[in-house]
Amino acid sequence: MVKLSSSDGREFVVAKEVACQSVLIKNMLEDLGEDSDAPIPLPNVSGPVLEKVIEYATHHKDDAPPPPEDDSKNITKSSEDIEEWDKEFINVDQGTLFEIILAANYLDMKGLLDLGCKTVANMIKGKTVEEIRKTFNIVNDFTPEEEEQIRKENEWCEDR
Amino acid sequence: MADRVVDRLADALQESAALCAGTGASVILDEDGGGRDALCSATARPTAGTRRLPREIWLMAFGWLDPASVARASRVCRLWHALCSDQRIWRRLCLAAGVEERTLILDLSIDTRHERVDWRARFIAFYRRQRREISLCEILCNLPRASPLADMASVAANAQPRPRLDIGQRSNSFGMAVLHAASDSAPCQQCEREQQFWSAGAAASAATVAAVSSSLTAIRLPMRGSPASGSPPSSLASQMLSLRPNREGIAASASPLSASPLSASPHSAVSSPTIVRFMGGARSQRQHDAELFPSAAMPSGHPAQYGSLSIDTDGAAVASYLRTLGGSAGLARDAGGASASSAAGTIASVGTLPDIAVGQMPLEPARTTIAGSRSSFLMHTMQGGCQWAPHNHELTGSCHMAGERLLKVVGALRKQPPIPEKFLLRRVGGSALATADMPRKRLAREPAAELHGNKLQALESTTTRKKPSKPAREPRTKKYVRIDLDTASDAAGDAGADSALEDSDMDGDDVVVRGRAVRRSTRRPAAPRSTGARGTRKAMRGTNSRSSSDSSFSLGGAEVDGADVSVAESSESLFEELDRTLVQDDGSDPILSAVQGSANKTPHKVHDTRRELGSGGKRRSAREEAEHYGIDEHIRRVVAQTERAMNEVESECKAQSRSLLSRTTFPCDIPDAAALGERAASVCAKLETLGTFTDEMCAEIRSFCHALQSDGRRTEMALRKALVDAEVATKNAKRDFAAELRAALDSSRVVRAMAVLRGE
Repeated sequence: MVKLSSSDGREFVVAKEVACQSVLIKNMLEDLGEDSDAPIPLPNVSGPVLEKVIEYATHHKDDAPPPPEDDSKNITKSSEDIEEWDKEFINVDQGTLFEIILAANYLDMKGLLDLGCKTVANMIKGKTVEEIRKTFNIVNDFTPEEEEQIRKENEWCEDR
Repeated sequence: MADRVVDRLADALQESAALCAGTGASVILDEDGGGRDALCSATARPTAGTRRLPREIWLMAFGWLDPASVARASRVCRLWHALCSDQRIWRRLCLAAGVEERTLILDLSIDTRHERVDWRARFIAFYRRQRREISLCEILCNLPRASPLADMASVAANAQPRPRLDIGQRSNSFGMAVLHAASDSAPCQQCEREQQFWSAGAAASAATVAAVSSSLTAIRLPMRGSPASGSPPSSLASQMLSLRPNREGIAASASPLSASPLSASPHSAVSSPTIVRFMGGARSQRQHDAELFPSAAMPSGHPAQYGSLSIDTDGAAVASYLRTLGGSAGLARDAGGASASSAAGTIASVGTLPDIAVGQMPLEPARTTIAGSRSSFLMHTMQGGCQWAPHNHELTGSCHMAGERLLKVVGALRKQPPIPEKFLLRRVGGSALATADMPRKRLAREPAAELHGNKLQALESTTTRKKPSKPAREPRTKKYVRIDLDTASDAAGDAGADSALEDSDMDGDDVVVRGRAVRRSTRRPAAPRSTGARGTRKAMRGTNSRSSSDSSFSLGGAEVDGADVSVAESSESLFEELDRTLVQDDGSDPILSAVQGSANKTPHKVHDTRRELGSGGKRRSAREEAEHYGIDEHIRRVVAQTERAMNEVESECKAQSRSLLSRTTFPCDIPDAAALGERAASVCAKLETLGTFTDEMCAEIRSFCHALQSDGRRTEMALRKALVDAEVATKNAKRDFAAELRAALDSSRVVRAMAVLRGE
């Protein structure tokens, strides 16, 4: 068992194979040896987020290890391709989603990171520019001239 | 231990912080500054709920987007715009879309592999090109896009010749006209060329033909969903021209040339009384055997009586025949501007046709044939009503105008009501219906024997002239003879053919399929249909024995029916009216009874045999054929006999009328004699109009069929060449395609296409 300590001081005890979903923790444990029972501090991950991450890791602990990175294999995957459980899992507010993504990035959990990115991509897909801005609370910082130019630049993809 | 852990974590954090810091403030979407501090600090936790993600993660997310979404995302804000210009995103999209990493340039000396690649530009170029091609393809032919080569092949497979109209050419005695045309005209240049081509290419490259045809089959079968045989055709031409009538009589077949216009025509779902049978086969000699069974309803008072007609049309005969029939529109090949301009002229004049007799013209908008020709692609635009070679661009304008007028006429014609089911013949196998008004018995028998003696199997049409001495009093009786062309029938001897024909001649009931038109005052109940099958079949089995022994006969047939449905239909109604008239007045009007009696003595029959060139035999020109078989002689004899019979009938009628008159005491009791006369006169007038109508229709059908055939030949040739020239053609395909398209399309299409080409 491995003890994890979140940024707000909460401690989580998880099975080793669960914790090792994170490449960061896995490497750390390999470096440190297995005899340590000191909690591993994760100062970038808050308690609630760490809880979610552990939930994800627990559910996916029996998954096959991710295949080695290969750009060409990735290209045909779709962002719509999300398991039902994952979809339910990632159905959180945007702040939490971003935190989970950041935590996954930090902890180096490729599956979770991909899940988060897919979710973000799905939030972008099929929306108009204005809807995207609204969704992510982004201020339009283009000048009107710039905006017109960029619109022209990208109108090749728009349906006629 | 714990210190080491902390150090390690701090290192990791520093890495990510450095990553983020390197990108500057733009990384942080909401620029409160606190986020960066938090990231840079090893101990601080990120502010909950902040909407910020590092650049790399946004990139990762964008990596899951489709091209359009990426393009839209780049319009959101400056940061996103910068992110969305990242080459990694576009490279991934390029790879996903199958855009080659290396520019596809056939000239291998040019290789851009090592140049720096602008993936975004490349993807956009690819995307635009694809859209453009898809759009063009859709605009032009409603085709799904595959590859340029497949496009060409499928477009070619979809080629539809448009029917051509003959105007001012009312061949009153069609058979004579054909025979004269065949014997009097010299073969045209194109025909000579084709003849050489075929004779030279007969032995050559059977493999090539098989390859072409099988590829054609592969291409068009899924498109048509037709039950065509998948077996590699032994003769490409027969494959291309063949139509296999199924049980419903609908022309569903493997033939791209003939099937599509038929299936596109509104009346094709029903069988029509007229079947034009076409035979085109690329045998050792190219042999076209066209049999035309002109339309059924021949009105009385009209001099032209069509029998069944069989034409042996080698290239020369077809050409000259078509020239005779209606100008060379149908034959406006790539022979040059001259023929094309004459085609345009014909079309332009066609545009002035009144709203009659156009029949069904399965005009498909902008069907375009692109067939690989010797050096470039020959394109036939059907909409404009002309076939043109690349050098005839200037003609397309006028052709288009004519085509529009034609479309209007067609539209008007198509509003005609559908044909009642009861008037449709059910057909079995490859059956053809021939309707003819010919004197029965002697007229039919003697010529047959003579012709047979000369080994002329196919006979044709005798013409009979009925002088409208008493047009109103001589309702024409009609015979519909159903001819079973089932090629599976045993080959009966020629003698059998004649005897069978005699059988059917003498027992008129056997050949009645439609009892409607046959009225006999003595045998009022219509001739039994049930007995018709045996006699008819018997008769026609004999008739077709020669032909059926040749497998290509059935394969090579292209049946075009439905073309003169409208005529038949209106004729039906007229005849029905006539019949009603007769029924009403039957027995109450002695004169009418007498007239009917006399009319029944002038029954007409069909004598239909098939003429076929001996396959494998020496090839003769049409003129030689005519001379060899003495066709003119036969025709003259037949005409003479016809007239003799006619005179007999006439005199008999006169005698009967005279005797009737002598027996009648005046004032006789005919209360509505004047009305009857008026009615009869009006019927007569209608029938006259119908005769005109039918003539035009027949000519039209004929020319349409020949257009089909010649188009088929041309397409076949072009495809052969295309295969050979495939590599060169591929190089030039696009340029030529675009050029041809621009020139070919009518203005609105050009506008649309240009818009697409401009990427708007």
